[in-house]
Amino acid sequence: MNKFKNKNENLDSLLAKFFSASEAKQVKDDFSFADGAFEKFPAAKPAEQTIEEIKRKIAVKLSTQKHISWPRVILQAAAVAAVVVVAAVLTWPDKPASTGGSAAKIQEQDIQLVSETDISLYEAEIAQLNSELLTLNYGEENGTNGRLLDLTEQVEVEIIETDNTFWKG
Amino acid sequence: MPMDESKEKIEQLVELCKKGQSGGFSQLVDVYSSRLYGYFYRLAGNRDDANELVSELFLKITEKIGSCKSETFEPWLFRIASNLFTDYIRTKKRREKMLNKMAEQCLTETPVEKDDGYLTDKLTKQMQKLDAETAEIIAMRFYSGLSFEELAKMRNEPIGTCLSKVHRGIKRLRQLMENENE
Repeated sequence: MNKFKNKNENLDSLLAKFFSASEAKQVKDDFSFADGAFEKFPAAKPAEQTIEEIKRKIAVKLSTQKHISWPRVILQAAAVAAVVVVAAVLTWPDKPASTGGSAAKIQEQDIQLVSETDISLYEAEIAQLNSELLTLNYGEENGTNGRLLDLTEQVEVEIIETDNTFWKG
Repeated sequence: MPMDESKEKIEQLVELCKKGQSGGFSQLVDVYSSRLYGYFYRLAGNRDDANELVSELFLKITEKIGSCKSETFEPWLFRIASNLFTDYIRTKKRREKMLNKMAEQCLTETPVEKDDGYLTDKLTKQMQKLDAETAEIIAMRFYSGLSFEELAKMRNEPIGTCLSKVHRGIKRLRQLMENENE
């Protein structure tokens, strides 16, 4: 039963903290009045049809959420894979061939499972990615500067040409 | 009455919902729909809006259940209900403002037809006369079953302030209802 007097709290001791004895009595009386009013005029209840409709909507929403989660999982997996590849590309040449400990053992076992051809293919791919990354890192700056230099030279040539034409008349 | 549902059972249901099981949600709807509907009905004053708000609330819960701690489900649930009601009031005020402007432009006064959804009882009618915050805290205390401590925590205000707000509101409500009787 809904009540202003919550069963889990001691209303008397709570009221005593904030009100005088006579005030607390009045508060309790008002709370009892409210309880009576809420009981005398109970709120309407939701129609069965409304409840069924809510349940149906929830089921639809849950199934949609499940469908949406797959692309998310794929995206997340792709992101993790990309991070792993980049990390491998960046760290491969610096890492020693073998390190002690269980992690290294597991790595060796994994490597044994993969054929020699596969390893060379992966190595070539990683080397290519590495060189592409380096090219991108350096090339971006050099490229821009290079283009800028070309443009500057072009403008300078044009100025000289214009200058000459002007004096020649 | 739903408020008598054991805390352990509610916690189990919340865990089911977190796993995305629609059965868990269905049971939560069975347990809480009446109380939430009562809460919204008292505040909105009509059935149509109460229906809409309850429906919206459960859909919100479906989205947000992951962020809920099962042991504090009820305060969490009624916090969302309270926020939803605040949004509803804002939208309603905007709508009323717009309608008033339109009415001024038309210079005609047509009485609003009230259908069955607007047939409210005496208590709901008088609660509509209280300011929204006072009506809300009274309805919250009654329908949520939260203690004053939980209520104060939820509203982020001292327990004494919360207690005094509820009492002032009830006192006013009592005056309104008694005056209507005279």
